[in-house]
Amino acid sequence: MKKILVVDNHPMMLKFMSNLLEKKGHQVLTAPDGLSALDILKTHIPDVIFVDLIMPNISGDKLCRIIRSKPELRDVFLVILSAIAVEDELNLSDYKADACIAKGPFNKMAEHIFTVLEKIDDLQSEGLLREILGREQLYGRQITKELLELKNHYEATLNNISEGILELTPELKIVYANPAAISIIGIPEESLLSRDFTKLFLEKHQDMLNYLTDNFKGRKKMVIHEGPFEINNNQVIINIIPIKDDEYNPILVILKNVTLQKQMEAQLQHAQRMEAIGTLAAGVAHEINNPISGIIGYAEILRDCYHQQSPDIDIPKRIIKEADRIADIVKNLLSFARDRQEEKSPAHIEDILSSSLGLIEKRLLKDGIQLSVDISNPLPEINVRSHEIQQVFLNILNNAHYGLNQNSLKFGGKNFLRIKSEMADVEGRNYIRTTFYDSGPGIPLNILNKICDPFFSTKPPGKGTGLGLSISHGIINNHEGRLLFETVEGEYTKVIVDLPVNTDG
Amino acid sequence: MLKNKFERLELKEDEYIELVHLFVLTSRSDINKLQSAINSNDTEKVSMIAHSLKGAAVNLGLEEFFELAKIIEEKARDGQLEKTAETAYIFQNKLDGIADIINS
Repeated sequence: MKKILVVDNHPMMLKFMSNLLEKKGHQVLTAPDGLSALDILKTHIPDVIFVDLIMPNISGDKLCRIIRSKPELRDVFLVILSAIAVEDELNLSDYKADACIAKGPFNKMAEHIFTVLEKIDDLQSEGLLREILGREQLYGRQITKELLELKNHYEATLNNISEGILELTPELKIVYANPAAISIIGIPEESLLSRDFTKLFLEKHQDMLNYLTDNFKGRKKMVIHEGPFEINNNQVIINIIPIKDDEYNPILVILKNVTLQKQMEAQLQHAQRMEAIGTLAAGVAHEINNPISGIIGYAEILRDCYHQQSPDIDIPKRIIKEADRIADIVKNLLSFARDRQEEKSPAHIEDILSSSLGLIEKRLLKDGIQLSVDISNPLPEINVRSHEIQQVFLNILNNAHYGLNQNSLKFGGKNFLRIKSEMADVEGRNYIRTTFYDSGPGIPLNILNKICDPFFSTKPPGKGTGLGLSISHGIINNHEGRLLFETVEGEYTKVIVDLPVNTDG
Repeated sequence: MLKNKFERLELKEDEYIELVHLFVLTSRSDINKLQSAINSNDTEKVSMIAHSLKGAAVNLGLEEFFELAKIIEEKARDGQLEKTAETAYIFQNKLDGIADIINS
């Protein structure tokens, strides 16, 4: 007695197979399409599966591949049952099937089915059957071939378009996915088919998708949702098209990947915001500068009125000190805002880096931070305002130092800062890329897009002005370079500075 | 007329009648779909359905139905939907005929 599953969309074929096999004492389950077959296979593991090739809701070839991808079904004996099989010069190993029986008159089919079933037990030791039984009962060969060509033609089209295309049952189970959809979703076809479509998305999107798909049930209306919906780190626009037909009423879903487009929009927005802030900062700085000079001037007069030994002389001195601090901040603000047209000159990244490091190296070592510098020699010169780049590097180094010190309580001794300069080719342009890789606490994702904003700081009041990275960002932009961050919270931060190589000679 | 058919297929009479019954039921709904496909000029779908009708007819050794389904499939492929509709009509009448036989 064998447990046998028969999958075919014709009720007559299912009836014939179950009569035939039950008479021989086998236990028979039937399914009208690939999707229902997969449902049955969740709870039953048959010894033999007969599969028709052309079926709605997950075709036979896909069903075969899904069956073979599941470890618990790997040893099931798989028999293809189809007229198409004979025409397609079918390669059984493509379908990972063990045998194939051509559809024909029932007496012939019965004969072949019994041949296969008898052979199964011998085959376990001898290897696979891999043959097509019943080729002699061919009919309408030419036309079937044309049908197949048509199918292949449509498949070729679907395989090559850039939009992801999914077919869903009205219950929103996936029964078809083209290669673009598979790559956007990032789940292999074998485990994607028969899944619930909405479950692919984050919980926050699921309600919306359920609403969208509920909304048009029974209506012949297309829905486009700009979302964007997040899936597998991609952002997609979703287009849902219900297909009205007499039987299955499938739903077509088109996924358009807009990740790059959204990234560029975000970059543009950021650039515009920075520019607006720059203009504002320049205005404010200018307005503050004048009264500050006044304050400092009057405080100096006040100071000069006091006797040098007077205990009160400290007060005007403090006023001057604090006002100087304001003046410094304003100066920094101006350097962020102003597009300074100071001359650039050729310089070596190594020299700039070592002058920045010279200012902080001792402190890093004192705090037990393992420092390594790797400069792949010889790197070409870059055309820069050296003191500005030095300022950027110093800033990054200071941030890394601060972060690592936050960390040191937790993982004492494991703190490192690795600096590396090398050539990088970005969109056909040569850059020198300097990476500052520290094992600090990382940058939380929710603030990552704010860290370059002026006055944004994570440091406690008085420890930082929130201007360091915004100034650095401005400087690197003025050098036509790029300032990038790669970080995993709790693990590391990589700050990457790309500066264009001096191509003028 | 049916007697030699079930003997040729090595089936018992009641089994054969049950299968023919399912054939009639499925084919009737297929013919309905075929007609709506003809109305919407969907030749691909027409020939797909005819192909499936043809396969079922072969299973049961019903040559007349096989020949008719083959004509439907070929004519649909040539775009002669008028001819297809005529043949589908004949197919449907024959279905009624065979339904009467198995019901009696």
